[in-house]
This record gives sequence, C-alpha cells and structure tokens, in this order.
Amino acid sequence: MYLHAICVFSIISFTTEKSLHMVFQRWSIRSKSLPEPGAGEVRRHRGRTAAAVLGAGAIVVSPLALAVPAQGTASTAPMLKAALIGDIDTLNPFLSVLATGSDILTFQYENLVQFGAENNEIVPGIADSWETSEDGTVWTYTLPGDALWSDGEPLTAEDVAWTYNAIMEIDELKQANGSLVENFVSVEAPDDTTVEITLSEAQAPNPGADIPVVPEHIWGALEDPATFENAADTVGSGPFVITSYDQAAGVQLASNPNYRHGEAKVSGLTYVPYKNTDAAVQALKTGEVDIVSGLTPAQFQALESEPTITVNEGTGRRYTALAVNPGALDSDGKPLGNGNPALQDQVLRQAIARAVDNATLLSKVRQGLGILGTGEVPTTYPLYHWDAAPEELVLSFDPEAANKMLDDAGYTAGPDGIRADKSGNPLSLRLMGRSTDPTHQQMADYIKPWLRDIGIDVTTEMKAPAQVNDDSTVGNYDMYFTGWGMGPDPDFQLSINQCSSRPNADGTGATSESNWCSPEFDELYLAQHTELDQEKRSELVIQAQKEIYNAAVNNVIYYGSALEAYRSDRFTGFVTQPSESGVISSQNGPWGLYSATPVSAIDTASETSPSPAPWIVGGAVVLVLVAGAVVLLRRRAATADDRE
Amino acid sequence: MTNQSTRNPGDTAPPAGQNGRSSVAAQRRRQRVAEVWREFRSSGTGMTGLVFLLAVIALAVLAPVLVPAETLDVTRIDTPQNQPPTLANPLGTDPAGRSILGMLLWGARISLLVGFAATIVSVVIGTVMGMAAGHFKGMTQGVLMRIIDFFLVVPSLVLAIVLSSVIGPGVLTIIVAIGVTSWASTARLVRSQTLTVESRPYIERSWALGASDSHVISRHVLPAVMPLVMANTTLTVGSAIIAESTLAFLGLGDPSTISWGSMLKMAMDTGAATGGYWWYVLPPGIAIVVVVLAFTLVGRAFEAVINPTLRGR
Repeated sequence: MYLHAICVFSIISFTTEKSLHMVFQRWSIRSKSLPEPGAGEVRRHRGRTAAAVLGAGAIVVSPLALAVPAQGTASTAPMLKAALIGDIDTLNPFLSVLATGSDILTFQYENLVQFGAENNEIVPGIADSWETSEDGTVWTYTLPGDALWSDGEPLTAEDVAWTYNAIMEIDELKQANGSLVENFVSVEAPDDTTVEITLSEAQAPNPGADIPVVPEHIWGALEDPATFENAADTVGSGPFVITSYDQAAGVQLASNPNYRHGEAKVSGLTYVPYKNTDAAVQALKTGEVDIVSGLTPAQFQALESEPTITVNEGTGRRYTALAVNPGALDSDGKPLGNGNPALQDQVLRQAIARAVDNATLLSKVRQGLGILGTGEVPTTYPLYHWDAAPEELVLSFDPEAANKMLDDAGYTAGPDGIRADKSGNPLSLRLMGRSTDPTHQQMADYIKPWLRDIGIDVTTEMKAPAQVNDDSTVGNYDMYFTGWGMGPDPDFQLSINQCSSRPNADGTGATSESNWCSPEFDELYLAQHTELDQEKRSELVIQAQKEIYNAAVNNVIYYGSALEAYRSDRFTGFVTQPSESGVISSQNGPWGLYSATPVSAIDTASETSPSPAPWIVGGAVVLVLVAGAVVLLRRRAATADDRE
Repeated sequence: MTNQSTRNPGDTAPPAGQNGRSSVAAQRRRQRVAEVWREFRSSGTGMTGLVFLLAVIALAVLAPVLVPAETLDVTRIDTPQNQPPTLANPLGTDPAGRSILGMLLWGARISLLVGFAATIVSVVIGTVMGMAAGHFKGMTQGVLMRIIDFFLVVPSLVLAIVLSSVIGPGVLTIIVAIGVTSWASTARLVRSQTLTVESRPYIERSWALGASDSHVISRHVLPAVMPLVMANTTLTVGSAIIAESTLAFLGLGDPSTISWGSMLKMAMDTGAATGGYWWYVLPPGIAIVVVVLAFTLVGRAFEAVINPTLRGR
C-alpha cells in the first residue's frame, strides 16, 4: 500500500520526465520513419509544435549541465545563451527536419541565396549574383571567389555542386531537402566561381534558397554522410559553427572568424536544454540564459514588467487553423479514414466556419497576441498574404447565417436541438487536438458550445502529437486543430493541396494539407509555380488561398505572434526579421542572434547559480510532506499487522 | 441481515437453527458496529476528517445548484481572464475567465467520483484475490500469489499510463487504470488476514461439519476481513484521488472535464506559475492535499478502532 504512496510521490520527482521522454522518443522515431522526402517541411513544422510543447507537462527541471566555454575562441566577448526546449533530432543538415535542429544549422551553413532580414526578400548568400535564362530553366550563380570556410579552406562552386548532387543522387540524404531538388536536372560548377542549375521546367521560387551548402573537403571524404553526426568541431560558412553537442549539456557554437559579413560580436552561442518554457523563463530571470522563445501569453505578460528583460512580440510565420475533413481520398481515389461523410457537403463545412468566432479565440486564448487569419499565408509575408476586406470574408462569424444555411440545406433539428444529417443520423462530430498544446483544449472549450448553437454535437479528444499526425494523415478525423510554419515562398504550402499530394492508403507517400482536392486549385497552383512576374504570381497565390477558404476545409483562425524575451541588460542590437515587428529566434536566416551585441564585456563572467522556480520548490515540498505522511502512517499500520 | 434479533434461538420452529444463528450474528454485528462508531467518535482527528469529508461531498453533490454549468461555459461569460480574487470570484478566474471556485467545486465531483469508483474496483479485486490466495492451497495459491506479486512490483504509474493511452483518455479509463493497478497491496493484506482467520478453531469446526469452500469464504472469512478492508478502503480513496490528479496532470484524463488534476495541468501549461497567478495554482493543489489528508485521518481512526494494538500510540 505504501508502495503506492511512494509511486505517487515519484510521479512528481522523476517519472514525469521519463514518461514524457518515452513519448517523445516514440514520436521522433515515427517521424524519422516517414519515407517521403516531400514531407520534409511538414515534419519540420509539425515537429516544431510537438517539440516545443512536449516538455510542457514536466514540472521538474533536470539537473542542467551548464555551459562550458567553447574552446578555440580566444575572444573575450561573452557567449549568448539561448534556451533550447525540445530535443534535437540531428545536426546533420541533410537529415534535420525538426525546428530545433534546423534552426541551429541555419547559423552553421549558408545557402546560395538567402532571405534578408529586412522583409524576407532574396539576398545574396554564397552567391553574389544570379541570372535566369530566357525560358527560366537555367539559373547561373556567381560566387565572389574569396570566401573561406571556418577552417580556412576556400569556399568554391565545387562545394555547392557537390552538396546539390549528393542530395539528388543519394536517397538517404533526401530527408530534409529532397523535395527542393525534384525539379532539378543537373547542378554543375564550370569554374570555381560559377554554379549552373538546370531545371526540368521553369519555376518561380529561387532554386538556390533553402538548401544548406556543406564543405566538400569534409563531407566528400566521409564514407557515409547519412550517418555522420556532425556534432563536434564542425566546419561551416555561417556566422557560428558547432563545436560540441551533448543531449544534457546542449549545443555549443563558436563564432566563425571567416564569416563573409564579419565575425559576430559574441564569441559564440550556447543552446541550454530545458524541459519546458516555465523552467526556461525562470532561468532567464536568474540570468542562466539570455534569450527564450516560444513563451505562452501569460509568461510573456509576466516578463513585460521585468526591468532587465525585454520582450519581443514578432509577427508569426505560422497559422493556426481548424481543419475540417472533406472526405479524404487516397492517391488511388479510394476513401481514406473514418471522417464523417456528412462533412463532404460544402454547405455544412461553411456553416461550421461561420459558427466559429476567430476574434474571440484570438483575444481569449492568445490574449490578443496575434493577427486574425484570412488565408494561409501570414501577414509577415505581405507579398502573398491575402489582405481581405471584411466583405470578402464571406465565412466570417455569424451563427444566425450558419443556422439559416443549414435550415435551407435541409438539416432539420431534432427535439434536442441537434440536427440530423442527410441520412437521418444526428450530426455528431469529433474535434481532435494535441494534448501537449494547451491552446487546443482552450479553443475546443469555445468551439463545442458554438457548434452546439447551430445544432452540431461535438466530442473533443486531445491526443499525443504523434497520434494527431498519424490520424490527420490518413483522414481519421472530423475536425482538428492544425498549424504550419511557413517559409517566405508559399510554393510548398500550396503544393501540398494538390490532388497529386494525396497520400497512399497506408498514409505513406505524399502529404496532403487538408485531404482536399480541387482541379481549379491545381490550375492556380501550376500557374503561380511557373509565373515569373511577381505581381501576377502574388495575385495567383492569393486566388489559390481563396479557393481553400471557400472550400472551408482549413479555416485559418489566427497567426499567433512569436513571443520571445531576452536579457536587455546584457545583449542588445538584435535584428528582427522582418525589420518591422519581426522575430529574433527561428528566422529564415541567421540575422537575429548573429546581430547580438554585448552591452558590456564585464558582465561575461557573472553567472548566477541555478535556482529552480519557487513554485516548483514549494509544490515539491508539499508533495514530499504529504507522501511522507502517508508512507509513515502506512508503515506504522504495516508494523502492527506484522505483529499479529 | 435480518431483523429478528429480538427472538431467542429456542423460540422458533425449524429451520430455526438457520434463522437463530444469523439473528445472533446480526445482533452481535450490530452491537459491534455501534461499538466501533462509539470508539470512532472519541477520536478527535477522525471526526474532524469525517465532518470535513461529508461537507466536501455535500458541496460536490450540490455543485450544479451552487454553480450552474452555464457559468463555466466559456462562450457565455465575459469575466476578465486571470483576474485576481475579488468579491464576485473569491478565488479569481482562470485563463478563460471562469471562476476558479466554481471549477474547484465541479472538479471535486470528478476527483471524488474517480476516487471512490477506482477504490471500489481496487478493493473488490483485492479482496477476492486476497481471500482466494489465502484460502486455497497448492497450485492455485501459487498462481494467484505470482499474479499478485506481479502487480505489486510493476510500477503502477507506468502501468496506468500505458492503460490509459491504450483505452484512450476519459474518466472511465482513469477509474479502470487506477483500480486495476492498485489492488495488489490490498490483496496481500487480505490474504494475511485470511490465513489468520482460517487457523482459528471455529473454521476447523466448519470444515468438520462439512462446510464447502464457498461457505467458509462467504460466511466466515469475508465478515472477518471486512473491517480491515473497510479501513484500507478509506486510505485507498486518498491514494486514488492523488493518482487521478497525477494522470490528469500528465494529460491522460479527458481535458474537457474539469478535475483538480486537469486544473493543475492547465495552470502549468498556460504558464500561470510564471505569470504569478497563484489563485490558479494553489486552490486545486490545496484541495487535493486537504481531501487526501481527511481520508487518511478517517482511515487511521477507523483502523485504530478495529485494531486495538494501534491504539494509544
């Protein structure tokens, strides 16, 4: 009996971490086993949510190995310490699909061209300039010729060609960026400063963006690059290079003296792992870390009043949406999953969209820290964002109109107020969300009564992230909360709405964003994919988003702001992307942390000892006392029993 | 039980023996109950716990009257979110603007329901297995004991987590998960008591008179182990409530039903601790502590009554 009490006590002390770790491992294994490289972006961003929130249930901070100064940097400048929440999948740039890993690699490897800090515009990366042939199928990049890797070796066109060809030729290296080279015919380096990419058909997105270029003299010498961990004393061309990685101690990066834009003003970066953002926030307050991202609104508001801490609300590059299953089909056109067939009626889906008040969800669940959604592309990418006038949003919140739509469509309400579907069954829908994301349950608390108001019964089910991924892929849902982080080019996001992106019957193969398929949309996608005129392309992309909006399969609720906080008594000068109300962490490029400027070099040595949150200590003490009391009492009882 | 206790055994016609015996037994048991109650009443801590528990149970039962469900419907309220305690909301509001006090009362329903239901499952399994393992000998006993030992050594939390992720989240799942994982210690307790009881002469006499296994178990062993089981039950409820909170806190409960554990989970997930919203963190925690303490006090007092060797210590 007192064994049970001990068990209960142990929950709080360590089992929490263990079980969560177990869950995480299961999830990450699953994500690695997804076979199709085309889903790279999916996993990256779904992974971001999962990784960021997985630890949220844990309440005890594991003993943290504190940062060790990186060897090799003689600089006296301080290191910038960032909180790392969630596990890193791998630091191999060919394989890393989780945001935790790929965000760090952004600092290590440059691309041919990259996304600028000003407004996510394409700016020179490894290549200084580039031009496109008449028909748009040959892209020629010119390199400056004097660039060096962090170990002093010259960075040439050969390195670029080797990297691209490795991804094109070796299947094991396609995991992270394979989908980006599908349209490539060849990548060649006629001389040291020229790279030529030949495409099978013209494309609007710049083919030199998004693929990290690795040094051939390191990677070419490896027997099997796919198994290389890339975790110690690495060589790169970005502002920081990884010097060591340990799951408990985190990741150390040292500044690269050969970086083309000049050496960083900090001597390096340290990613210190934390189990959840609450622990990271406490560490920020005590000065153990200098920057924390992924805050909840409550944490963000609590940190606003701290004098030594500055908070940053960056316009998010992620949308949050309520997806509705329009009748999923597999790649052969056969029904997939167990979605409620009633939802195949567009009128019913539109009525659901009209019953959900996005403005209330934004103000109550996100405390207003975000922007109301229209199409899928968030406001941070103004070129492609659908800046809709109110009258264009025909599916805006209006329960009366929703009720009328359903009345007119013949969904008659029964005596209990629940409508019957076309085959006479009461309309009862499931609403799925992630158990690790508190906003999903909070939003479900609102949506359930709203849909009840238009005569639809809703049961909510919060599942593990891996389960939500699996169920949504094979269409085992009626409605679920989804969200995608997006790069500056919307091509990928749109591409996964094509009919050709429907998965195989077992969920493998391509990934479909909403399990929806429309020939009109496919035409718009192809038109924008090959449209080289920016204005026309933007128009096409917005039209494509309107198609999704009107189909009511993926009702974008809001674009949540990225909430970050940093120690402004130590570092300043962070460049945000975009420059106006942008983000510092998780940028499309290295600008945010590269631009960190120490306030004073004297601060560097001071490092307060780790002190866990008072709540945690208090809670643990109370639980220890209770558990102890129960154990003691039971022990006394047990002794008496033994005597009989 | 019969109400024939006023009769004397000799007064009745055949089958007077049967009635007479049970009436004597019933009378003796009623006396014993009255005696137990008298002794229990003399325990100050036990009575404190009992009164407190009855009050909590009354509040939980009356929750729908005291706090109508509509006031916890997030779409029907416009109270400020994360509001500190005020006169209207004595314990403040949660991140959706619901009254914490109201949620606490509704949470008591789930926590107590799960606590009692899981305990019943656990105690029924534990008593049956324990009596069987004590009563039968040889192979049967060996097999039963190994099953009990298995459930004793398996970390119950891990087993409960696995069970609830297999069956899917929900109140029923938590009841089953706790009930199925926490019966083994009850079973060992009952078994030792069964062994003691069965070595007494009156059981031997029953055997000599040709009593069957079921007769011995149900007529003699069960009444003899019952007091022990009752005391153990009271203590198990406390553990079950903690276990429920734990599973809900770990996200294995149904998050749309309000329980103390799910309140703590939501407080944790929304960063209430960092935000300094103590009114969301402390009440559910304190409620768990106090209710579990009350169950422990009652259980301890009851145990002391039925087991005199514990008294006065």
